[in-house]
Amino acid sequence: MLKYILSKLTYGLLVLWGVVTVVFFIFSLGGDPVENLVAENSTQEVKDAIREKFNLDLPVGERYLLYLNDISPISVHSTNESSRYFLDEKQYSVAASVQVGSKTIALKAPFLSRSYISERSVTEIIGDALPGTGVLALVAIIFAIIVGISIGVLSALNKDGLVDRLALVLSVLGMSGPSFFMAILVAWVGGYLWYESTTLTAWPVVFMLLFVSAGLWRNRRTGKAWSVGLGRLSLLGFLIGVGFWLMASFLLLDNLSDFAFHLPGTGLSMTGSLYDVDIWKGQVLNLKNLILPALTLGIRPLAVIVQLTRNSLLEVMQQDYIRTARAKGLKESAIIWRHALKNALNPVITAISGWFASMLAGAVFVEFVFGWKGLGLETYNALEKDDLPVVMGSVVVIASIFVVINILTDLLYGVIDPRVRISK
Amino acid sequence: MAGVLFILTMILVAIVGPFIRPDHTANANDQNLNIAREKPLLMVTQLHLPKAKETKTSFFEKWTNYGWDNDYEWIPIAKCQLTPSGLEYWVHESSDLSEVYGKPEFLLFSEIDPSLENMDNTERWEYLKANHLFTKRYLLGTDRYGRDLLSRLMAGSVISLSVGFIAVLVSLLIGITLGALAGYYGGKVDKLIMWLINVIWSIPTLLLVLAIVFAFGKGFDKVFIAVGLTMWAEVARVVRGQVLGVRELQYIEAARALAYSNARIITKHVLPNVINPVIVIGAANFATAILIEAGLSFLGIGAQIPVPSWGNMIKEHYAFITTDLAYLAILPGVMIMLLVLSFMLVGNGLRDALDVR
Repeated sequence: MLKYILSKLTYGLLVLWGVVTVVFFIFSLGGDPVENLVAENSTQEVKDAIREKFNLDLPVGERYLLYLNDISPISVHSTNESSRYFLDEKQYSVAASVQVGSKTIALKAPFLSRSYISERSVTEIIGDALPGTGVLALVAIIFAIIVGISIGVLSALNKDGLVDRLALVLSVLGMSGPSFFMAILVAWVGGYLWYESTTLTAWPVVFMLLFVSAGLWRNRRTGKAWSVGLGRLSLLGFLIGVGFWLMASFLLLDNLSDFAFHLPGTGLSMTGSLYDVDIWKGQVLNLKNLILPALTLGIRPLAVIVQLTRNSLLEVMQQDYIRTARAKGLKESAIIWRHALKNALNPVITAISGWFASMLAGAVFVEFVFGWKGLGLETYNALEKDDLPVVMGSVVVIASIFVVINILTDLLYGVIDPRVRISK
Repeated sequence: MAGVLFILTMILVAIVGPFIRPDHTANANDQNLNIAREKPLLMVTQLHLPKAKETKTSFFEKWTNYGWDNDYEWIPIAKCQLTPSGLEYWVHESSDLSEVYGKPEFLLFSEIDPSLENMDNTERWEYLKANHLFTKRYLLGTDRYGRDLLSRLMAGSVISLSVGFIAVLVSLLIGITLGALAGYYGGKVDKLIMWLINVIWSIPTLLLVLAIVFAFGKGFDKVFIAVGLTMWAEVARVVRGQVLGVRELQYIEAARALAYSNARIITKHVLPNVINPVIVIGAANFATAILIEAGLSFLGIGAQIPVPSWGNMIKEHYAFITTDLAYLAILPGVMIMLLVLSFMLVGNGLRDALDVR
């Protein structure tokens, strides 16, 4: 076990090193950023001073070494104060340091250089922005997991039924929509069209819910599987609701509006962050603003989870041990929830762990459209201003989160399933 | 099936592009602010005036430049009337003002067409209608700069399709080569390539493309390459896995026994047997590439204005979603979704047909 953990950790570190290297060299291909930063008529001295401040006067190889040294938690520094390797306590947040000869070996937080524009430390900028994105991604993935698994189970139980077809179509649509467009659509519908009470009647929805609950009750009474015929019933309820409204509006032409029974509006704004700034109270937590962005960010993982759950549950339901459970006379609900789903969710969990980090990246669009203060928006703004260290820092941070999550899932699998430890 | 049909239609629209677009100027960029933001099914009467300098373009140039300039200047007019010395006309204003004609403008006959000067009024009318007054229909209305939305949408297909095509080509080229090498040789080569795959795979595609675009500069030609350079990892992983399975089969052993070179075994015997999953991934990557390009163009680092891409069309117009012009941003988005959907359906169809996994 220890050997397994060690080998996984080493490989993870190797991949992290690769990520840092690739990112560094891609960004240093771009040429001299100083020309874009300074005013057009600045003198050579000003440019040189900026270059020296950000180590841009060094050759690429040396810059790379400096960068690696800065980013590694354990680093070697010079004791000479004028050296660029000097361990400046103002710059680095040092936990401990030991002096060996003319060198200092330090244990410190990774240092990601400073922003070209605001000269704040990149670690600080990212630290401020990351929680916003983290909360957003977490809520989105929880929403996607709960709704996705429920719909997936529903459509597997109604294979080729109405619910199944509908779920399939919707999930393919959800996967083919670009996230920025989805964000615009959700903001448009949720924050504008539906901001106030709708002009459409709510009767179809009311009837649909009535019919579905009647169906659930019937299935319980008659001892059938709980989901039998629900799709047909909900469609029927919807149509009857429409018919009811039309009938009512024919009979009561004068006071049509009394009978329309509108859905209440969402009252959500199209843009906004987790914290609003109030003049008197400072930062105010505004959880309402979380709903629309989280919904948008959750659409794509939701679509994937629905399909994965459905296919994997269908596969599991074919297996012998389910037949055994049926033969034992277990209730259908116990078979599904306790025996089938437990095994069907394995591929889903793998997918979710992979999704989380790419959601941090995908949040760029969602944050951009909703004006949500987070890492994505920060990265976009830095990109607009050619602020290289910030862009580079956030790419490195997100990739590192991805690698760390991957290592953790690997380790978790090693704990849960002993076979994994040997095969790799 | 519907997916294939839609893709083929889009490819056709992209290839014959300027010859079937209502607006055949390069990039469908025939702006006129007087008719900006007009509703669909707009009819506009255009007064064509001679251009100072006439340019001739060959058929081939028309195609490679993706359009050609009008050989006239034009003014959208609401109504006009003849006067003894010239033409008095009212410029077309936005539709809600069309009844309230402002001050008329005036052009001498010599400015419109010298031959008008020696005619009487009925002849002039006939001549103007035949040569200088045309009615143009804008099926989907105009965008915020008064360009024909339909033409913009049609021209936008080129970027999406070519990004998909080139990115998939690049990713397949790199992915198949590295994947085959890793799978076939195993050992150190395999370890190295797998490490590289893991590294690339760890950096989210969007951010890697952002980094590459940041380094090489904005523009859709860089996006082509950047997207291709990021998507190969998936291809390489699948190819490697397949090659690992095929490598131990007897016919490969037979080929080795015949002393064929490794290069020949890989290209002639291994690759043809692992190509099916690669085709399926290619279709999926096509969809991904279109999504990424649209996203980058939306952020303003992909296709640069005035090159029409569905992504930057949404960027230009998404401020209008709280007005009744929301369709200006919705329609390009629907086009992206349809194209991506088609490629995903084709991918699924291929997976079933080729029996992959």
